[in-house]
Amino acid sequence: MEKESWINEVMDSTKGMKPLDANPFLFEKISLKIEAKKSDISQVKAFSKSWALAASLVLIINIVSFAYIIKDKPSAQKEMGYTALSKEMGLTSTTNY
Amino acid sequence: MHNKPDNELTLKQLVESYKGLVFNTAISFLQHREEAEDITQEVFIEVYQSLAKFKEQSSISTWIYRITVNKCLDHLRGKKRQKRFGFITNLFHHETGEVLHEISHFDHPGIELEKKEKANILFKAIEKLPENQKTAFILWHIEELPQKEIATIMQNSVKAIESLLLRAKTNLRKELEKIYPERRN
Repeated sequence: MEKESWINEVMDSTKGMKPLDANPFLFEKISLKIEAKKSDISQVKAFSKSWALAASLVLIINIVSFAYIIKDKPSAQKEMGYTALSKEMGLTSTTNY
Repeated sequence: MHNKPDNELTLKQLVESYKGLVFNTAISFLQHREEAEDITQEVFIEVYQSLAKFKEQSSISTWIYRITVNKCLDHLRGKKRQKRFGFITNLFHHETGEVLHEISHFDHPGIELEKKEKANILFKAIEKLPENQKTAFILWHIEELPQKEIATIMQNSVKAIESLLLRAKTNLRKELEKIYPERRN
């Protein structure tokens, strides 16, 4: 009986509890955090922008170099032409020397 | 009570209207004033960021309650993980010998002096409840919300909430029965 009433008293101990006041500077603190988050995001964006710029530069350099290599490499048709011409002019034979 | 966030309804207005609700719910869950303040800030940051996504299906207070409950439960899960990790790493400070990861003793400042001791016992018992029973019990017993609203916050049926409350009360009573003999000796 005594135990039951003690349990009931414990269960009801929060009845009539007064609500607590939140920090009076809560709004200012939240605003600061939001601003900090915004600047973090813009920093990340700026960082990723610079990385994207560097990556595109590397890509452009690669494309240009590749284009040069292709341009410099004689085509198969040209190669055949050169061979035929050198044969005709007797440039392939080493016996000339 | 606002039903839909208007454009004029600024963050400042929301903070002013709901800071008490968020802070007091957080303190009941976390039983720690500083942690409740941090969670209150996080709740309003999330409210600010997802205000555009808010649907009219529930009232703003219900929506804010839901965010608060989720943030508190996430925080408690994180603390539990930390405590578990604490047992693996260090129980005592290697130089001072000071106890680390100590369970804090909560003393709710809003409770009358003569009820404080009993309320502390109740809060300790609430801490041991499973997440959903704890949520239902805090919202019903401490926040004094109607079961229908608790059902909306917890996205469950009223019947399920009734059952959760019943189980929570039974478990709390069992826990208190265990403590009672200790107190008599």
